[in-house]
Amino acid sequence: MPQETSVSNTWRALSSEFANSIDHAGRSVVAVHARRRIPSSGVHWRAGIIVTADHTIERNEDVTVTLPDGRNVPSTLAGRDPTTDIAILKIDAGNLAIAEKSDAAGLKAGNLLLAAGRTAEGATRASSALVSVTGPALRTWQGGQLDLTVRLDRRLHPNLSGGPALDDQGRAYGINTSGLSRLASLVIPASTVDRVSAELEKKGHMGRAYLGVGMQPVRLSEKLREALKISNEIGIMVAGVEPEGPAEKAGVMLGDVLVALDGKTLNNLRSVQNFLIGAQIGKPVKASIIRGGALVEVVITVGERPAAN
Amino acid sequence: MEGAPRAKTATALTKVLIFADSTKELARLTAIVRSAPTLEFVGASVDRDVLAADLADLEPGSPVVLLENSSSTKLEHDSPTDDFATEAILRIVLTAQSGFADAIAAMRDTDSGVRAALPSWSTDDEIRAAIEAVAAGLIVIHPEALGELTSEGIERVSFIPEFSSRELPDSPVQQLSPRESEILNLLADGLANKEIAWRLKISEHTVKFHITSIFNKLDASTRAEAVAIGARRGLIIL
Repeated sequence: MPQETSVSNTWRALSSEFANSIDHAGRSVVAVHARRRIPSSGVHWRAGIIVTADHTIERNEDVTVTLPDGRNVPSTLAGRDPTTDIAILKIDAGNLAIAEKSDAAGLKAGNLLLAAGRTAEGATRASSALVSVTGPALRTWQGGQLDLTVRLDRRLHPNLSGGPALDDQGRAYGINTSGLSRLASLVIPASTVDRVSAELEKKGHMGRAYLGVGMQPVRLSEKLREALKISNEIGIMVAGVEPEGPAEKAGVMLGDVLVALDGKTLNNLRSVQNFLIGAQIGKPVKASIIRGGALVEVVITVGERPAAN
Repeated sequence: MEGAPRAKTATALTKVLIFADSTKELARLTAIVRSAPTLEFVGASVDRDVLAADLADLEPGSPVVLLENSSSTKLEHDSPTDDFATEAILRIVLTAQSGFADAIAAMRDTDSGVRAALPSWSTDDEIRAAIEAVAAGLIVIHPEALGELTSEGIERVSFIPEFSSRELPDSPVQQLSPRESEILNLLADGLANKEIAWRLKISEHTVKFHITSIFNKLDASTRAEAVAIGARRGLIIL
């Protein structure tokens, strides 16, 4: 029989630590049944609220959740933000433990993380990954913002999307997802989950930066461009001003032609959309406008897209 | 047939595994793969467990194409790859017409590994072409499965598209109702039908009804066209 060495002691200790971390975290991890294929996982983030990966939600009704004790319970889809890949479900949580959180800001390339999830049958699923790349805030391709970049070293099993990324104490640095990159899974940091899930709980979706103008692209004459010394061939003409909207409050008028926002030239509606994706609700922006043949500057305070009625 | 000349560098060959639920289909697909000089036939079976074992034996890292023909319309429990990391397994699914919707939906989910959706009656050439395209990293949709793309509302606008004034119809435009205007703006945001239905707390059926009306009024035939025409008319409110 092989002698017990310090190596095998270390092995046993490490293995035991891993299992303990998973076990501890597992008390707040559920399976989420919202698609035809393998269920995803979810984390009981605060009382009655399960956070999961939005891309794993493929239907609005009959979304059920499997608890750590194996019971399958109904849930209500309460909010979705595909831009950060976060969705929230409301459940009757009973005794379900709430996840403990950890700060992802201290993570560095090479740190070891564990991933926990729950299978369709209610069993705990575990995996490990290295933090592969860290960085500052990440703008996702759909225009959402993750507070930090934490890329893992590979794609995790699909069941683990929506489950927590864990430290050695079984606390969640955030939510793992395979939905934001084809190459490797990412961790959505806990601070982002806090921010987004709070707004989702209130409104069901994230607020969008909004100016309150209906616009159409128009061609600017050479004469006008020379006179005003602007390079745009196209301007965005205001064809409608929403009553009580941010543009109306700022004094924007029908017929105004927008040529730039905060100094960024506008060539088409897409550039306005792009600008708004990066804009912050409540912050002022300088709109450069051609009005009556002259260039004027109007300061608009970016508002929030009104809720659908 | 054996004896077909193989490419000099063995690493350039695409590995292909075949699953079919009838031996006749299995034979047909096997013949297609064996007769292609750029493909390496790895295994074929009607038994998922046998295939799973074949998959487990392959050296990791090299991408594998899994050619699946299933008469079942449900994909989720039929793949032998569910237990494996799906990144290296590229699935080509051959289904009956009734299976198109499922296959296209699976393609939207990167975790499913499905990269091509073909009718079960595809020709040998089409199947070969699909294997090569998928191995090259592309996604393949047979034109006959395309109907599922637009009717499922899976087509999404990502940003307001740009069309030159010559490309778009210039017929007079009827006024959109407030609800239609609201939905047009959600289309411009890139929302799919299901998401619009959930946002507005109406049925998906009602959403489709409104979208049809929007298309008629704007003389558009796709979402991208509707948004582009709406934008030119100043109907998109940002």
